[in-house]
Amino acid sequence: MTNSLRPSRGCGRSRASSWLLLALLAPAAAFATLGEDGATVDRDLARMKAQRNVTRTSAYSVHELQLPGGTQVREYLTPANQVFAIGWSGPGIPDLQQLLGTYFPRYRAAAQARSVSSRAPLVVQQPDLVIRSAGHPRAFSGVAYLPLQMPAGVRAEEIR
Amino acid sequence: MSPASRRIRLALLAAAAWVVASCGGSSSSASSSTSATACTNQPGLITSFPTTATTNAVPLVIDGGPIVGGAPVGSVNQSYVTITVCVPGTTNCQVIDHVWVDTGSYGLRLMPSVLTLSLPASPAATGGNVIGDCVQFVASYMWGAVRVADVKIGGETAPSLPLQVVGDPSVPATAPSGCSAGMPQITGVSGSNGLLANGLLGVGNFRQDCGPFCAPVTGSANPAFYYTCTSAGSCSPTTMPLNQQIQNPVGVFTSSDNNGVVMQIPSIPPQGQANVSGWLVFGIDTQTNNQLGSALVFLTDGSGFINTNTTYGSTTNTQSYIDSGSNGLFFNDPSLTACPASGSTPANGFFCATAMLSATMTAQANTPPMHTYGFCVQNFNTLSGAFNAFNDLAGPSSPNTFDWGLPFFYGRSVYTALEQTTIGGNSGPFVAASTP
Repeated sequence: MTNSLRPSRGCGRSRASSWLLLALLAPAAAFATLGEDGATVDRDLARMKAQRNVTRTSAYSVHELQLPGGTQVREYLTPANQVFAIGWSGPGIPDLQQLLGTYFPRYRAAAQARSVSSRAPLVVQQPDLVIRSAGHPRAFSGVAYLPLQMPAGVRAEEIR
Repeated sequence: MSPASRRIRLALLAAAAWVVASCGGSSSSASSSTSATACTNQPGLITSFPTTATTNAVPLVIDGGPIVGGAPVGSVNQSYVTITVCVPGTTNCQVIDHVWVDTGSYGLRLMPSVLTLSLPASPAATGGNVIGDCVQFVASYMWGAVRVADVKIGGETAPSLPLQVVGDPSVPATAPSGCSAGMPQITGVSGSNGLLANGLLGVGNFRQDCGPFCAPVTGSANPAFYYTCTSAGSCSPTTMPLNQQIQNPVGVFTSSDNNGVVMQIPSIPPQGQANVSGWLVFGIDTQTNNQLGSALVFLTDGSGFINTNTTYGSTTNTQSYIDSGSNGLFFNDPSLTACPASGSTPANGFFCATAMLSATMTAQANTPPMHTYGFCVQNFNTLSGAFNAFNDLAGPSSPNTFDWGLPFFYGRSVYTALEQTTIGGNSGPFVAASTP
């Protein structure tokens, strides 16, 4: 996925056709990125009601998206609209470069530090970043969250 | 083993995975011990199987992997069989050893440095285009083209089997970003980008690598699976009819041994073992050597997760699975210390703790069939670099996930039944295992 296909930020015209295009070519492009502002997600999601489900608690909101191909992505936003956690599950792994943004290099470093043949879950456990990714073909799941940006009272177990 | 190859091997181990010794435990759950006392095997594990080589049974080995440059590549807890690949309808064939048996994936994938045959392209490739195929793992992927071969394993034949030729020159060398997702690519047999196998034999619960998720009508173009690539080297995600997707060869066998597989691997000592010989048996309840008998059946869902869970301590893991392609047992227990990162080197993904534990596989919450399986976790740093097989290699996982990897297979018959089958009154997909 290319940056040029990133969300429809600044792409206000021809909504239906541009969303169709995005859905076909870049399904993960509709997402905000870990640690960044989630405002664009709200705007994007409003245009694809059939594929979203938003739930709210007093501490955060969860935007659940169904990707073409069966994978689900859940984004957790603070009341201040910052993405503090992401979860995924499904037959394929979503584009984590897009979803993890500036945190992605640390995930990739962990992947490169071990044998590529390993089916072991990939675990990144750092003071400011936790990533856990597991599964096998047709059955992947994982979470990524920012411990220092978690709203008060939210437990890591709530992220899925 | 030469000092040089041993160093390589230890590096691989440190980078990849593993543990020593063994297990025991039984009974209740999640009790851990800080003692370094060696574990003992759980009583009742199977020490040898009466199986002999026949039409539906082929030898399976856990050893150091294929020989590259005069030495084994140095795998741990990877189980292998030998297969024969032929140009469809001909006797132009090639024997390929050390193909990794994987109940966690679907279909045959062959490494480019090994395959010498010229196999025909997928019939789905039309108008000068090529069908590109992607398979993602947790933190790596393989990319190649779909081709077709007659595949023979023991006395079983899967004719005109769509399979993946990894790194096939007919597709661009660089995978589309929706496939790679920025992860390292598996490109060869050995070394840091190696599969540590000459191929991957996916014999899990499903008949296709993607199935309805990628098929027309029931699914859609999924960037994690199929692509149409033009001769100019441009690839776009595409749907793929079920019968043209990469096929689990078991479901295509012309014999009646086509409803699943049984892996029979004898128990090993707690301290590990250099090599282990077992059996890969095709079919379930189709011959005397693959009877379900008193094995406990755990139905699985559309993802291959045990329906419904594995209970470990107070944790109900809703995403649990039995996977011969995982070389350890992976689950969450905050009381077990994960091996720490060292300097700029990230953690290796294993426990640096020793414990005797158990977990309960349950088909439905707290209702039969359910069974508590004992196992042991050994401190990664105490493992012997001289061995390739360990029944107590373990590490942390993702929330709600319990991965019963190859350590679980030692001393048990483990059954993997295909979807759309009925065996002994059980509807596939399911997994089953002997007790204890």
